[in-house]
Amino acid sequence: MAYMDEHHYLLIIGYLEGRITEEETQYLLQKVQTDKEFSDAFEDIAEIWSAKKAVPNNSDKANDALARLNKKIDDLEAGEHIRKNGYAKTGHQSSIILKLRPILAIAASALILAGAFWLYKPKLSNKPASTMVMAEKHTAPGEKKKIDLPDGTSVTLNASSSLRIANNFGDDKREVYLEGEAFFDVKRDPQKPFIVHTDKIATQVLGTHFNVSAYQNDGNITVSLVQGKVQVDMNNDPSKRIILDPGKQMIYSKSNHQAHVADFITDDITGWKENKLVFNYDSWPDAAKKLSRWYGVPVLLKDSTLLRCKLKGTFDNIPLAKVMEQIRMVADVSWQMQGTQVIISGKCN
Amino acid sequence: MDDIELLSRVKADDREAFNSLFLKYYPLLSDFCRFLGINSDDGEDIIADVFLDLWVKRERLHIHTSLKSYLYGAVKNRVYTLKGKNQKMQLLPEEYASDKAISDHLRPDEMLFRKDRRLMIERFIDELPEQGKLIFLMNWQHQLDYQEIAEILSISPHTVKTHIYRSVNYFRKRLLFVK
Repeated sequence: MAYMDEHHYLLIIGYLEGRITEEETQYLLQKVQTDKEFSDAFEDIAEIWSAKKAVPNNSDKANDALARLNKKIDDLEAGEHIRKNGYAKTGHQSSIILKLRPILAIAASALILAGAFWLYKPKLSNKPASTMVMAEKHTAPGEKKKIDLPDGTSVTLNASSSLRIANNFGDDKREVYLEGEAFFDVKRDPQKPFIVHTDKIATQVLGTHFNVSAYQNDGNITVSLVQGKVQVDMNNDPSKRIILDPGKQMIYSKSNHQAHVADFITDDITGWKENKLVFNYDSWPDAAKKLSRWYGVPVLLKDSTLLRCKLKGTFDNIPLAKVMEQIRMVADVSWQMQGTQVIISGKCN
Repeated sequence: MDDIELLSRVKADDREAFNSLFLKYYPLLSDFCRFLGINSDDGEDIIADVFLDLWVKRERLHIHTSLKSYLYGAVKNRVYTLKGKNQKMQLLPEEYASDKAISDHLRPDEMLFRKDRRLMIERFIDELPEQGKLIFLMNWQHQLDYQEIAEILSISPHTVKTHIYRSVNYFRKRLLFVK
């Protein structure tokens, strides 16, 4: 291990905390890709910084402590009052009603359930596919599409997704806007950062292969890095910036606006490109949405108890009925077709 | 509402603003007490004392730094008075409750991996010299910048940076043996 100077260490730390300027960021990104020693140091420091977790926030404790403090202050002030005026004012109670911060303990699952699963919204796009028109690419349920961008980047778009390409794509940045899921194989160009925008998340690429899943009706946005390095920004807040290493994914929860980094197995994430339907510890609501997007039929969950379970499994491209049969056998659920829609019920244990 | 606004409301006798400030800083300051080897009951007393002081003196209070630096600094001074400045501090274990939020959406294997790595880094931190340990934790865990740390500990920003640099170098050396 080579020792680097203080300045470079502090630059890396500043970057991980979102405290450095755009200019310094560009310098750092360049150095990460060209200087092995720097890149080693970067990885070590990123590892140390990623082990950090939020400061424990026990609001019950804080509220209790505040109540005790307020009592102390009230006693103190009541005492002063008596001293000043010589008598204790009657009717003046020294208790204060604390307006405690309302704790938004809304269970995410309840929200998901109320959100309903009527996701079947076929996008009737009859526009001729032309590489000359830089606008928007759609896929219908069950459809996948490979898109070649003018810079040599290739994008595979999963079902029920759309990709918009910025008008000034390639000028000094390469920006695209994704709704749904796509796999990106980005052509390297350090001068022109490639940025994928989704709802709350912007992913800037320093390297090459990665998958972004950002369906509007899913609970999470997931960025999974297969190769290279990516930088993920949330809500335009640089202090929440995350750098991903290969084999890591960032999962951003839309319900609590928190992100965490986890490992993943490549096939679980990119299986869809090879026509494999993969459930990777998906909650039932997410699994239902996936099925609906994959087969283009509405999938309805009948029992809220299903929310407790997660689904793991891979299916080759087989008919919906076969998938449902296999799930039924392992997951202890039952299902039926009603018209074109699939209804799943069961307890799940 | 930011600290400056909250503080000016406190100066105008606004108890709600005072309560907001307390709730905002209590978790941080109580974790800071943990860095300084103070258990959570003593920590609560110290923090309450600092805020009581803030309330009582609110009209004539002149804070030259940020409110944040002031609060951390006041807590630190009280801890040093209580323990004696040179007493060895020992990083106390975190409370269990703090793990819960994370564990909700992690798989068991991921949780273990995370916990392992976190424990490893905490062990490295515990091996640092006293001042280095405190400075590193303030920067890494509490995201205080170099200037703020310098103000709180009454040392120069240059010293703060040197400590951070040394700590990171030490961790990298330790990581080499783990990998």
